[in-house]
Amino acid sequence: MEPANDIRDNELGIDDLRPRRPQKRTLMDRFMPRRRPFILFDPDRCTGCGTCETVCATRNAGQIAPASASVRVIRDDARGRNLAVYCQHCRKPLCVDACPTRAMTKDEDGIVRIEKLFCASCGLCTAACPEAAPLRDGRTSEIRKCDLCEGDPLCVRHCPNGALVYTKGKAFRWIKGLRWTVQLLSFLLLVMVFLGTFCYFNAGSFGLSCPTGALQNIFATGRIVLAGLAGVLAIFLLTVLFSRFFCGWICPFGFVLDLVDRIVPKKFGLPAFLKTRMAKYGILGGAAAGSAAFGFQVFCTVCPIGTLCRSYGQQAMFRGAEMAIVPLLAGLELTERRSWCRYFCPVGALLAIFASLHLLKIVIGAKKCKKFSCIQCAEVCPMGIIDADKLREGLSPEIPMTECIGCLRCLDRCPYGAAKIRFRRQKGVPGEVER
Amino acid sequence: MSDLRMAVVHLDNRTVEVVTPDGDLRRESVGAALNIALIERYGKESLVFGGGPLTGTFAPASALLVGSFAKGAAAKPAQAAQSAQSTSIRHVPLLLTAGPDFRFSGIDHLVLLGAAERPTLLHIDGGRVRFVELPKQAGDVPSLETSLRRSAPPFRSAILTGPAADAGVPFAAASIGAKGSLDKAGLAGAMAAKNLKGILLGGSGGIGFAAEDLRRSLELVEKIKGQKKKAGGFTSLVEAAGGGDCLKALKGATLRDAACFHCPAPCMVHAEFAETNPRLPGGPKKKGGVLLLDHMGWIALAKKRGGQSLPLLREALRLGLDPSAAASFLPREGTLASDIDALSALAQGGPALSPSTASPTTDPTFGGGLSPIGTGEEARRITALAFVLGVCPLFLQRFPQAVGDLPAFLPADVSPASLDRAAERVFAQG
Repeated sequence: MEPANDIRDNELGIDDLRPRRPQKRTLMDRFMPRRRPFILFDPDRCTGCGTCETVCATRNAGQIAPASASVRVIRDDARGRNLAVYCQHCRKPLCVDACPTRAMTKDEDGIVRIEKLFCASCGLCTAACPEAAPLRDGRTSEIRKCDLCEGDPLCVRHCPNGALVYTKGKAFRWIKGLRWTVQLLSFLLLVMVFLGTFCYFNAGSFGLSCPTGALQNIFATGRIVLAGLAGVLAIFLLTVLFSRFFCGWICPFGFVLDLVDRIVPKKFGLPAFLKTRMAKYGILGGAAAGSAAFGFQVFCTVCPIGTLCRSYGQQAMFRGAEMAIVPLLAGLELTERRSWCRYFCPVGALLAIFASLHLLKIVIGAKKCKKFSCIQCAEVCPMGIIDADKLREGLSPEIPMTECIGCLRCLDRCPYGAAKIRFRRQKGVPGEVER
Repeated sequence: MSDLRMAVVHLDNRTVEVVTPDGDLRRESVGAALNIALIERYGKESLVFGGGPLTGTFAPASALLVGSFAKGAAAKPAQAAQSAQSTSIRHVPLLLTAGPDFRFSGIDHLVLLGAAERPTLLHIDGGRVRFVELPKQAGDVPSLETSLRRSAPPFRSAILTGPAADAGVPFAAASIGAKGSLDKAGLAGAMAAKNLKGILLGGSGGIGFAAEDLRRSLELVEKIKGQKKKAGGFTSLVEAAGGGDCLKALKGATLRDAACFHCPAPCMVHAEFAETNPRLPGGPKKKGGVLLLDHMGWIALAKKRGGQSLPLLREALRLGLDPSAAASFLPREGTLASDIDALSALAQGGPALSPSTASPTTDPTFGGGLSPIGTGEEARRITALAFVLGVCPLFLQRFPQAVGDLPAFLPADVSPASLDRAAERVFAQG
């Protein structure tokens, strides 16, 4: 007689019966993610007529039976707002993970489907779904969910007020191409053509200098070079207008970090005590104090931006020890994206102080935002300032513009146009009903 | 309609019979006309609810449930007095989702006989009618709905009465959930006379449809969308009812269109407004909201109180009062707090039931609450047809050209001729 353990080992498990299908990712997905079909709901247009429920049920139950529909209209009598609850076909669906019989699957076309044969109607998918979108049929107690009518949703076709829109999102991401081009050109110009010009450039009476360098210079020498301040003023004005666009579009070291980010995996985590965005202000203060103490711009000796800008050419090639700072700091990309910019860069800290006067802001979560089912904006944000938890809760996150580098990845990636640039004083999220 | 199901509920001995109407009833009667036939068969004490053959189908605005009762069905003295002013049979339109959910609950017509010993609720679902215990703290209409959502079997819609009907106030109005209704003819009184606090509609079932209905619906809705601008919405209805100058009372409120079941041309709005506690003027503001379903009721309040009409309308609905009547009982001048006190007093049956102004009324046969878009015989005929078909009468009055398209959605066993005869019968009752 065989031991009990051996028998258990030979038993078939759910993994043998319904193995999870790994999500296939191609190289192209890294650069141009596939477009997924979705239904967008506009609460401002919904009158609560329930046509969507009615037509949906005809497909599910062959009857006019709203209780059997895969979409449900929740009517808020007190506030007059309606909410259509239906499957959002999340990028990372929680219902698929929660299903104990693997009846839920996310297919190649991006549609989350339910295999009736395997569904035990346990309702765990409904419990796992942030929107409770898998709905229990009022008649048969089966679990129903939207499968987008295989590409031609009846609810969208029949909605009399156009509150439901079927979309695959936008196809072309032009900001991405523009940003990489600008970053490459800036890198070539600052590092290979106009050598050292970021640190200090003088053309007659007009001077352009790095704002952090200028600050250290003031502390080191005790004098204010007015010619250099013109450049600082220009950067200040541009930062007030466009936030820390320099970090996202111009900075050559930022470009290097973006390149490294595409190559190295995120293997490690930063120690908690280093993960404070205030650290960069401390470094900026330290740089100013050090400059005052030693009489020269102390941070400039190790500044990765300056080092890069001074690195090209025959003479510069011998500065091996100084150049070591670039791969050293770029190595931080093994922990988090742009972790140098997030936590340590004093240049960014000074720009952040300027950016506190920002005139423009980025808002996420207009009525088109699919929040918890998407969260692509939070994933692509190199500064990690879009609160994914807020999106998971169905709320619009507030973006701290002092930390935003204005790369516009969020705008570019959002398939629904829910990320927008707005004036600072503009209230609420455009198009969204105010809370 | 060969599969017509009818429930006869004996409230006094708490028994229910679910039957199929016999040939005599089925042959010539449909919709509200069948309600009349049932009242004639079961006696003038009976209270009948029924949809039309189009209720809950793909016909646009197929939202109508009709509550019908004869003069004298409201047994309480005050209601009897109100009843005496009207014609022999009254039909009260119940819109929003009440009609479809009634049919999805598996019953086409409900006949209520006798009176319950104590306040009772009925729950209809799956073709069955059950008696449900009234929650201990019933309170006003919204509280009752909330407590029923917790304690009663699941339901999609509810027809409820409020404290005004409990107190035997003749101006009580039945309400669909807490959203109000167009009941100005005493349906709440007729329900209260039977000790019926409400009817809960489970709506978990469904009804069949013809294969072509979806396409037809889409085509008709597209056609109606093209005529929507000309027909107008809430504002046009209010202006047609003589309340054009009341629209400024909505200044500052956030308005959102609201529609009944499968209606492509909404004529209601939900108004969200900022309010302070009337007892604490100058206190913190909060947002409140009310559905302007009863155009006539809101106009009556707005004519008297302007901007305060919105909180007063909500208060009237909360207490289960007809807003038109409530407006006529308000003193000529008053603060919001004093008006609310006056409405509370009215809902409790006192102190003096004498109106300060004449209450605006429309055709009492059809519930008394429909906005008078069209007057005269033609408009009454369209309304009668809507009551027979189970389609919103306001929709049909706004889009009379849709009348010709609706028979396509009828079941095969309902002939246009029988429809005409039924409509004529309902019209003649008026």
